[in-house]
Amino acid sequence: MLSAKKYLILFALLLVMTPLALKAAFVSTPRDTQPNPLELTDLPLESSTPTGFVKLGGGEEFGPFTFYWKESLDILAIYDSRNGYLWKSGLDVNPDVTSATQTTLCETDKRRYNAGSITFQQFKDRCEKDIDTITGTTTGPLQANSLLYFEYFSKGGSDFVFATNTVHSSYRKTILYTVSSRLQMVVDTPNHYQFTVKASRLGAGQDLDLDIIADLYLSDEGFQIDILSENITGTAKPFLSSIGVARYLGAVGGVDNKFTVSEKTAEVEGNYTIQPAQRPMIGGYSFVPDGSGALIRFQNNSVSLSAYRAYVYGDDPSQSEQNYQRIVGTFVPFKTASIPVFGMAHGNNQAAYVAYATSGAEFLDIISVPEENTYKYNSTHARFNYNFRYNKLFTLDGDNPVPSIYPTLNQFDVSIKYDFLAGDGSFDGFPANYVGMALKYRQHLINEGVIKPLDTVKEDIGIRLDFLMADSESSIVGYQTKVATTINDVANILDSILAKGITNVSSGLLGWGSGGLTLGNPSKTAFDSSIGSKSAYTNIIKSFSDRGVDISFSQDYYRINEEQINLLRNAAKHPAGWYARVRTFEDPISVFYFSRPIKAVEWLNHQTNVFGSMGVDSYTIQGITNRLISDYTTEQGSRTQAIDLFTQAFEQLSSKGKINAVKPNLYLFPYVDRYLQMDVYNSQYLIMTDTVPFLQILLHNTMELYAIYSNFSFYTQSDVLRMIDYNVFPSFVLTEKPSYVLTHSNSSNFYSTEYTLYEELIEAVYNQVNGVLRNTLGQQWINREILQVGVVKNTYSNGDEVLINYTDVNYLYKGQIVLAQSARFFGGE
Amino acid sequence: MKFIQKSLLVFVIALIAFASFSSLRVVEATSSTSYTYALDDEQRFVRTQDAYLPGQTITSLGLNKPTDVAIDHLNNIVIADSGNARIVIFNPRTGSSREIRNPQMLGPTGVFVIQQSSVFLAQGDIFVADPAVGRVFHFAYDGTLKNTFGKPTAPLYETLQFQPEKIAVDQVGTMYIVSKGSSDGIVQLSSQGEFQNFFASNRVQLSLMEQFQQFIYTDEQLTNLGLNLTPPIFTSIFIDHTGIVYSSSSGRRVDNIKKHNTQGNNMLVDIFVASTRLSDITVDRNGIIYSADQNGFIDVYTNDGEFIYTFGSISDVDVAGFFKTLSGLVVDIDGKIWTVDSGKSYLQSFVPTEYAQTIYQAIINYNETRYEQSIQLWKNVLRLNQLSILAHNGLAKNYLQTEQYQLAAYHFEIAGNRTLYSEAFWEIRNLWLQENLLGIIGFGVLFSIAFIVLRAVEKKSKFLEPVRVGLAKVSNVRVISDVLFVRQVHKKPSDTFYALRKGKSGSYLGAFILLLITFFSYLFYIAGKGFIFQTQSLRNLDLGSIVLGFVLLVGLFVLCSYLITSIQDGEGTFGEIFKGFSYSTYPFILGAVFSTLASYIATTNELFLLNFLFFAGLIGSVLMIFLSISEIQNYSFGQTVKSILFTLFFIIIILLVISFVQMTIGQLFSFFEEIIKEAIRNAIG
Repeated sequence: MLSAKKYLILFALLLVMTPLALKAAFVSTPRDTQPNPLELTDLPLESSTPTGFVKLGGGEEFGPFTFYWKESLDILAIYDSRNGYLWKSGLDVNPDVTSATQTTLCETDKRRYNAGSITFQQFKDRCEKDIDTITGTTTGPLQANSLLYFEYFSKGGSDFVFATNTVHSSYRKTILYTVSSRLQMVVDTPNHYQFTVKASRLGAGQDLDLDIIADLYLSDEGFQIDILSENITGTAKPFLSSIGVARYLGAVGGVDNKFTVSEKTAEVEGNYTIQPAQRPMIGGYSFVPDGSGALIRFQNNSVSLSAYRAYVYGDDPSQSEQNYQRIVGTFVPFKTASIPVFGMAHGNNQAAYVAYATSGAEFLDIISVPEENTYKYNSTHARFNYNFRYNKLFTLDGDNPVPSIYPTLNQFDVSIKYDFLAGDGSFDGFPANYVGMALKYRQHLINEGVIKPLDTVKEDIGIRLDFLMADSESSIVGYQTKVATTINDVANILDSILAKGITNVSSGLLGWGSGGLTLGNPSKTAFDSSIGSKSAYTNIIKSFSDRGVDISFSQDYYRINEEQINLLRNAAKHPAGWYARVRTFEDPISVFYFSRPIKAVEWLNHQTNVFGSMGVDSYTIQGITNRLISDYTTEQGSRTQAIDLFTQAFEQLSSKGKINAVKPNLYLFPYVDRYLQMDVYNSQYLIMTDTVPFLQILLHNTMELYAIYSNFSFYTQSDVLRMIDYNVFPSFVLTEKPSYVLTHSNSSNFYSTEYTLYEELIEAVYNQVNGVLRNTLGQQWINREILQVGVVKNTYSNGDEVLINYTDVNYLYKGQIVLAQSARFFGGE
Repeated sequence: MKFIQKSLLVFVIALIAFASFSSLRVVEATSSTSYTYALDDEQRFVRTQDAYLPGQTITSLGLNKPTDVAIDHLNNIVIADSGNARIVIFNPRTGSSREIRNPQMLGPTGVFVIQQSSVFLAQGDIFVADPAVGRVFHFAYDGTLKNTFGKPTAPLYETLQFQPEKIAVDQVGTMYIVSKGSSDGIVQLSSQGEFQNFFASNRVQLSLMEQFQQFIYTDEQLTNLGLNLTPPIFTSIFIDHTGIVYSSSSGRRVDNIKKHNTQGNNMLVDIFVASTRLSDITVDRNGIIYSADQNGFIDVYTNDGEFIYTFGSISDVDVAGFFKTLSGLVVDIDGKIWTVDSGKSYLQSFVPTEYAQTIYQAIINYNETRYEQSIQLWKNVLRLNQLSILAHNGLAKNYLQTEQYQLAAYHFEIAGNRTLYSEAFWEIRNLWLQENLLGIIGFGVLFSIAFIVLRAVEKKSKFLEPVRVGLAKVSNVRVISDVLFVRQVHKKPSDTFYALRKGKSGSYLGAFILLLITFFSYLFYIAGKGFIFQTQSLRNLDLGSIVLGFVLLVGLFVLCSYLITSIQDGEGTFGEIFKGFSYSTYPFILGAVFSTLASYIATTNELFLLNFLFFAGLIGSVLMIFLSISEIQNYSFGQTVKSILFTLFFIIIILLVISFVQMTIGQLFSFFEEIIKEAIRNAIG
């Protein structure tokens, strides 16, 4: 019997929550994370000695795994004893049993049954089968089974068109060409096998051949496939477009043609019917590294939707069909995949794998194909690109381009690792979900020395306050620089911020020099006294440095324009013969080019030397931090060489001061101290069902993570909660003068920056985010759960928890109310 | 008792907490896939805060070429699923759906739902336009077929096609139908299906040049020019809850968005239309107008047709908020936009952000004369986008209404709204005059008295003699006196030009300086006017072209005049013509300078005065040039006219030759440029 006191408390609590529940206005979208997928009650458990498979390895050396191989179909099977789950590198579909062959069989048996030659049971036993519709095409089952496939360019009927042909490793014999494959163990190394694919009679003239030898390594974490550059041989090699790996590993879905028989009666003869039936979709998802991270849940789509394809580290403007791109500016650019990782989870914390490239990542495509897209499967896989099509130009105006492929391949070795996860993390701390994938990959990066946990912990979170100083607009004679903020304004604003008790501040100055943001020459350090003289900058930087505020110069070393710098020998060339460029609808500068990596590094070194002499504590770099371009100037440079140049330069620079990098790619992680403009969304492909903080979990407590600018459509309460949820710190870009002074410059996109309008918001946002996240500084983020739609719980290594309630309804947790649209810290034991 | 008090306290605190937090607006996490664009002060698109975010994407309905969408009285989405020959009614709250099919209905492309019951119609009645069978279907909300309407039997309609594509129905059951391919206009049928008339029609709007081309070219030539004289067809029609009819049309040279009065005439005149390939139009309960462009843009306008912003994008990639062929849109009672795309097979919603909602609320407040609230809301908009011309304009209009003219003028100036700035400035000037009129008159009287006194004193004591001598010394400097000689031009033109010719007064240097002054006066006129009249931005002026044009025109005139007069027994030399021309520009200088100066205190009401000043100066100078030629060449009136006409003709010929030569040289230059660039490319890499 409850006391009156308890009734009253209950009543009060109900009153707090009920009206909010009535509103129930929170509508979850793919920009949020959905609750966990459905649990699999019927795990596809199979015998540990699958039929037709040869055991490759098992036992202590391979941990919980036993590996099997089916030579006839190129299927690698991985049995995980922790959860009894069997993974297969392909669908393991028999290409000889198709709907057509089954129909023939049923027709024959139907006649025999009606003639009385066989019994109904015999008719039923032989005819009633479920045949995967993927067998409906010749290539379907072969694509679904193959461990490897490759694509090559072939000239067809027209000399000017290069068609792309696909060859699957299990493609044994066709009229056009021949492929054979076999797996062999390397002598005395039971964990090392070689998978050889031999293709011949390739090309329009059927006179080309290609051999690929892939090394397969088995381990107690999973398996690894390497394809060394020298192990690709044959006359077709110059035409090789790409190699794909384990296309259907973990693929889910499928539609069966169900053959059903009916008994004969006095009036009706015995017969059979064929009905397509969608297999029940299991719970689970693919993870792809789009922006902060995206999940693509397995679902039956009633319509065909676009596949996700991302070129890791960003598209290469020099390896494109045209030497120019046109940006209409109507849509938000797709997010870049800055880490070469993807994965798949089956069930609710039951079985998963995470795959990551350790070599060749700069040429990796991650492809996720939804159900209803040609075949009825959800699949995600890796493809490495070796060559590309482009239009060769011979005239300035670009008339009569000649379709071509480049004579030399991208030179790199492939190495991709598949680690398998099981259960809720109780086995090894890596649950079979996207959090486990992130933690597993994080462990790999820590082991490799790519990232390392921070040594020092500050009391408060940081805030990033960038300043837009100036930009150029057209004038009656040439261009004139419009100043929005002077260095003295910066000092005044920072003083004002410090006076509010916000002390962990870092700032980048955009458009700090002569010509401002768009026309400032990246190869020089020309100061403009109307913005700030060199001595004024030096004095203020030093003065604030003494007070713990880090002011740095921000520079884009990637995107350049003709008014800013001479293109000759500075801009990267496309193999078409001209500079790779992008046409925009910006004004006054509308055409932009891309710097050659070797030049970008030269400019970086020059400028940072000057900045260093001025006493800066850190360097803010953008452009080259997240873009890679091949350079087809006389001394060519590949993406791999660009990575080498950038990493060397960043390594040197990191010894001089901190590095603030805008959306850096993986290869720069070892040198970055502050990650700027961190994505907290994905590109929102329709197949993406959830947005997750994979990148944030990966990098948490290894560097300071700053969110996208709050000025631009990222200022609401939900956005503040997202910062807390994703463990990122706030950032703003500011000017002293109103934004409209830059209306007619390329900086017109900075449409809301005036400090006086943001002063209160900065304080409010910082205090709210800091109020929660300061308690978690120095801890590792080990789990993220969706307690209900719109309610997220983050768990840290010391047991601390943060609850984020995005909904309009108060949430009761551990006996305490987490108010609607708020976040709350719960200290650990 | 104490416990009850405590409990009550908890209860009150809880209620307060709820009240505080319930006031928080629910806005889904801000991230869009397409940018929102508004206009700047030069009518160019500039990015602004996201107005809408992609909301739900409904892929489960199995749609096939959906072409139109409507909202029913229960806030459900009603879709014309053309490819599946059905109407789908989707409940976004539960995710459930039902369909209406009819054997006669083969390809419905337009749908309209009755929102309120009337004597003639029931709430939820659904009207469907089906061009495939040439009929309009009238269903009850439960899907029962109530009536169908085929081609009208009226004699006027006998020869015309009836392929109803889009439909709207008013409270008395009158149907407004857009018929496929019909350029005659919107078909108006009675509730019984009888043809009444064409409610409205489109007209082709031609520029002056196009009208000229239409006059002289054959039909074939016009077709080759792409000059289609067939009136653009209507693409959609909508009736809002107040019964106002709106229509959209696709194509150029037409009013793409129309808000019709009861006679069918368009009430939105000369509005800025962001997109021209419109496929649908809808209006929410606040009168905000939304249009859909086939290229994937959703444009939003105020109830007066003022452009607010546009967003959306076209793409084959399936990303939330991207379109392939945007075919229909509607706004539900929560303000969400629902769209269908005939090239894709799903339903997409867009949720308004806080930014969009603030703008709409500010507009509503202004319309309902709640100016103070509107000002606060517009200020919030400005905080989020200081470049928002709409906000500056909106704020200024409110200030104008509340008689805060300085602020109004300030914001109108930022918004580039010269017309309303002029109104605000008129008020400011008026107030200033009212406040200072007595002072000005007093000052004038005092000044006059002081002047008279000074003059009298000066007469006696000559105390200003040193100043006078100093000025005389300065004005006697040869160059200065040569320049000042221009003052004689308007007094005694003939004598002046004679003196110039004979070299008695004036000089080449003086003429050159005068020409420079003329140039700067001209520059001042085109670049230095007050805000109301300075329509061209300095940024867009090309100083090089202005200098070149001025020098070329003056040089050519003098040269050609010399050449013509040389063969027409003229007596003047090249230098004399040059001097004559330069000294003739005096009226132009005065006209340009005073007109420009006056532009700072004038409003649009005084435009005539400004034009008068300028053109009086211009005409004065032309007359002076005429007289200078006549005097210098010793020509009669007729000879002078003839000489000037020949000169002008000769100038035109030379300009044509110059442009031809310039083109040829340009090509030659390009040729060498290509060779050099090619050489550099291959040699240097």
